[in-house]
Amino acid sequence: MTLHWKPRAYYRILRNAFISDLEYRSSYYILFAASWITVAMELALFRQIYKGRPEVGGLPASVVPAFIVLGMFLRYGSTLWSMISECVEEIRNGNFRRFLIQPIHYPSYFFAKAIGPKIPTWTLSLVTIVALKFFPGFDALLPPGTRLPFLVAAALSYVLIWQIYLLIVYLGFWFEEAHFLSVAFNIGVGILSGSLLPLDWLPDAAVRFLRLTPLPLLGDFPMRTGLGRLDAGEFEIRALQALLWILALIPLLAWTKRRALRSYESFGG
Amino acid sequence: MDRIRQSLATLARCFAIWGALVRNSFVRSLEFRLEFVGRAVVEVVWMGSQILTFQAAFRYAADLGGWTPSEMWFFIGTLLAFDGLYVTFMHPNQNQFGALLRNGQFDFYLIYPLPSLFLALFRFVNVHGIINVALGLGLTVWAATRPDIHVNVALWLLYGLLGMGVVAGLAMLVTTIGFWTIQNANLMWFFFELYRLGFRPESFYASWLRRILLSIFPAAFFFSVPVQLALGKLGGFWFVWPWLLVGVLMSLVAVTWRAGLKRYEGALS
Repeated sequence: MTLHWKPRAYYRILRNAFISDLEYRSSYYILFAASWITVAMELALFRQIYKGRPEVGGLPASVVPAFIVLGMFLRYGSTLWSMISECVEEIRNGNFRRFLIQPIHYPSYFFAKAIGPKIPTWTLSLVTIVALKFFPGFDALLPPGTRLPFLVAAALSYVLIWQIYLLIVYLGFWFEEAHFLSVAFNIGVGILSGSLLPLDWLPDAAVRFLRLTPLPLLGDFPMRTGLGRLDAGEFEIRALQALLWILALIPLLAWTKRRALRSYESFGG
Repeated sequence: MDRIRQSLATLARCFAIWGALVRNSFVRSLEFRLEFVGRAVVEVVWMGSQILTFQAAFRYAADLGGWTPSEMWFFIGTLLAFDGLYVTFMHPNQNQFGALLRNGQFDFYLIYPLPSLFLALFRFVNVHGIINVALGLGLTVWAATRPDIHVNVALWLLYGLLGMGVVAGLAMLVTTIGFWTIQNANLMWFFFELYRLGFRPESFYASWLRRILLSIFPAAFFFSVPVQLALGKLGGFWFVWPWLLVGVLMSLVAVTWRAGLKRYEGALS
């Protein structure tokens, strides 16, 4: 098997995607402003749930602003789906064949293309999180000792979500309308991963089921890490779980990719 | 008298052509049946995530912003149903309007024997949105038959449609900016983000934001005010405001549309 792994080439793709996206700077300002609309909506809901109470369902009221901001940052991972959507479209219209004759590793190519345009937004939101530390009400945000573990947990969750999206792309080889899977996933992931509301607030049966899936590792795990709400030794266990999921998905992705390419019938044979 | 007859004839022609457009869209959508099913799945997930969010919230609060669980389910059902109407009939047109202006296809709207504003509002129909409407109506009927609430169905329908008029008016105002800016995709996108503020009753928000949602950007009139009028939670002048708002917005749309048309240079001229 030839793996066309050329880091410098993919770095250039990433940089080009980053630069070309910066041509439309207003998009970033709008995306950033739009994030605060989501924050306002969440804050409104939490206000109504707490109604001045110091703690609800094990989550102190003082932690809520930090919880909302971290959740917003983690849900940026799901913006990677725009590239997936493009991928599925390429399969659908037959253009995907160009990736089969080029000397590239197209999952890496797409990853670089997906990450590039998101860098400014992610950087901006990370800077915001750091800046918010200096504002009253955000004391619970990334307390000392949690910053590096949070970045590790967030990175693991981003890789995991990317793998899930990639799986959806490969499913697109069999049924061309795979878009809806990523849309449905994006809609559900906020609440089911615990980045919109604390996971423990959901009905117990739902929580028990969700713990068997990788979903809590996309939201609940990095959130609790960033808020310093993990028990001793819990970070290592959860990080190991995330790693195991990532490793388990690698052969599954490779197998699906092989089967998918075999079933692919693009224009031009 | 002749003018009235002429207007009625134009209106009848508009409806006849619109009926044909809906039929065509429906047939076209059913060509991809799996996509139709997929969209249905997406809508079910969206509704499920909304229900799960509020179910989790009601575990810890007897009411949210003065809304009991039954009232809240009624609100969410209404939101889904009327948002579905908007997604079906107006959203695809507003989404594509900027592209029509840029590539000159808007020229064809001007030579049709129909008002160009009517075509710009209703030319494309997204049949998949009907799924939203059906699901929303199901939830609305279920909530309305619960013993602890009383719903005035006529008021619900009338003010719900007026709420749609407010959405259409605001969206068209943003859309017509395209005549001046050419590239208005970001503005449209930002509008849809602001539109989401209407997905929560205005009593959820802080007083300053509530004031904005009742005046500058009247998102409270999309779903919340119609539902409150139907439930008898509001009365008096609140029955008048939606009519005034729709009147003012439609007048503004007519003025900006005419000004935009004067400015439009077209691709064929």
